[in-house]
Amino acid sequence: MTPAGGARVFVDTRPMVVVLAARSARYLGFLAIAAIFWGIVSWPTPAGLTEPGKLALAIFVVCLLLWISQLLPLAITSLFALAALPLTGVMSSQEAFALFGNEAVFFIMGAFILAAAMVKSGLSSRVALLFLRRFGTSDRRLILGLLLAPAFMAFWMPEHAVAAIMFPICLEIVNSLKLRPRRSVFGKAVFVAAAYGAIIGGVATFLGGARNPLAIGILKQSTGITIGFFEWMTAVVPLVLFLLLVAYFLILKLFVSEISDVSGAVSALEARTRELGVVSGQEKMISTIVLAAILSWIFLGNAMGLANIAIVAVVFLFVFKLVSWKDIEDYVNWGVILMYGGAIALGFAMDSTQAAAWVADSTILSRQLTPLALILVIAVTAILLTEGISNAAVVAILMPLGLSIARKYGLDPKVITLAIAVPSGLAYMLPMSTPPNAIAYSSGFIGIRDMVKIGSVLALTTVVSFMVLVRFYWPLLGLDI
Amino acid sequence: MQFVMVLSALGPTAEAVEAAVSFAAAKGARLAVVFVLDESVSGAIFEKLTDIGFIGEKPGTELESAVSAEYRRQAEESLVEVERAARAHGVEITSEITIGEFLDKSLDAVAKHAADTLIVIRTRQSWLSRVFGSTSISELIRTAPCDIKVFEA
Repeated sequence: MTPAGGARVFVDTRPMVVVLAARSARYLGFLAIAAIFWGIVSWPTPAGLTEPGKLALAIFVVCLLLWISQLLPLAITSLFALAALPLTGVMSSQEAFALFGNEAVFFIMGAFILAAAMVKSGLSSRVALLFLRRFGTSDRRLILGLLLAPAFMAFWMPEHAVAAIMFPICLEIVNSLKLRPRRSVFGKAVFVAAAYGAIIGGVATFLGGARNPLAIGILKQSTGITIGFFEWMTAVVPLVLFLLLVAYFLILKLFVSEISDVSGAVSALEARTRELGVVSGQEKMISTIVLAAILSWIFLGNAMGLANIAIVAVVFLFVFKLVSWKDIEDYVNWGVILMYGGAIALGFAMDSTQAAAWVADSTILSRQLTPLALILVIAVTAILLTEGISNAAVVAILMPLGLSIARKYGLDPKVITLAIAVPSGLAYMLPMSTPPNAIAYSSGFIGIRDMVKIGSVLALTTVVSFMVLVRFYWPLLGLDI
Repeated sequence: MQFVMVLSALGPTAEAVEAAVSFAAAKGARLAVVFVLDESVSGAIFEKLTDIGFIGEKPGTELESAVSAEYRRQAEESLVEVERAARAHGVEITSEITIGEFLDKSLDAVAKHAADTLIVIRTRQSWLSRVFGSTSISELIRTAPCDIKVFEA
């Protein structure tokens, strides 16, 4: 109803209990989390768990609930962990804030700045278009190009940035072919291919998703062991190639194209490429610096340090005036630094206080599993969790527990790190599970049912192929189980 | 007799549009179609991307603009489709795109056109979300000052 001259007033006719619950849900959530924290803290310390361990566990549970419920932004939850650890006496302020300066955090920062330079200069769009033009001669080849272009790009820059670059290109393709949202099957294939290409490619290196260096950061902080850039690629790239192949055939099978002529799309891609003009000096310089950084990470990463290489590359961007600080501020979300710094500190606290070991003992370790079955449980847990919550949060939650499990079982912690980090990056089923899916879904061409249908098959294939890799391929690299 | 049909980015299908227009034709009503572009939808998506995906401000804004432009294009296409269906049934029709919240703009359209019946299209809901959810359409059903006909897409 609208009172004369006044604002419109709505009368909520739902039952009072439902109305009150809906309006106060957020605050009830905080109260419930605070009560759980208080419950754990005041609970008599069980055998095998130390007092600092109990406090670290209470903070971990609070962060876990906040990351899952997203009552607070992820980065703010991490920041809370950083303050809560000294406040509860789990570690000193100096220790907690020193962990924020972990090498992985600075590597992530450097990698994001390099990616920002590539996006700002238009270099990333040019690479995507060049890739697509080589493929776009038939509907099937265009889908292959849409899968491979973002996958290749996500090897070298964050997958969400790749998805953002691909979105206008995909729109150009569907509009040039006059495809209708929700009705065109080929339109669905276009957006699914671009999203899955970015997601699958994003697990191949440390650069595709910052969760990978986060996992390495927690591994190194807790065990002193690390995984090199090249070592990671060697272990994961075969899986990536296989999953791209499976995704390609699944897309062709489940989204049978209703069109045969893609010449309109080819013309549109050519026009878009022409708009970019000739390769600029700035693009050439940025590609040289990025290439040098990548080669250094691969061949000199262990000797020089990944973060050091990233930072030196960033300095060169500024030496040659290829970007301005304003550009970096526009393109880099600093929340990522807060999220990862806090997550590393929390992971270290869980490990150093033996809280993670106690949790692992009380849950999965009470059952006698074979190492392979244990890795299967971890990988499945990671792939299921990542459908519901941010993949960085999955890494932050599972890594401390996983490393304790590795210690108890005498497993190589590198294997556990890969078993958590790789599946946690492969969220296929829901729009909100990862930015590439959300971006694809926002096009209006794909429905949730489409994503669940193809995503569930791909998730199952991922788990099976991942286990085959663990069992037969990784031992050849010295990653024994 | 004046009918107002309100469409949103997530709802319409050819079948539902056809059913709604046939209904207007059967009642001999004039039809005003309003497509509500709810910018809070793309805004909510990108708020999430900033939080969970750590997308930078500029790429986020550029992406949001691209999505908004695409929604407008899709809205224009949907209106053309309804106009075509209405004309095929001999229904007199006017159409417009408006930006704002679905509920507010629907009630504004009802008032502006002095509608006898409001036609909306919604996606299928589970009984659970019908009981506990408070969607714009369920609010509209409660508050619309005229008859309301809901077609499920």
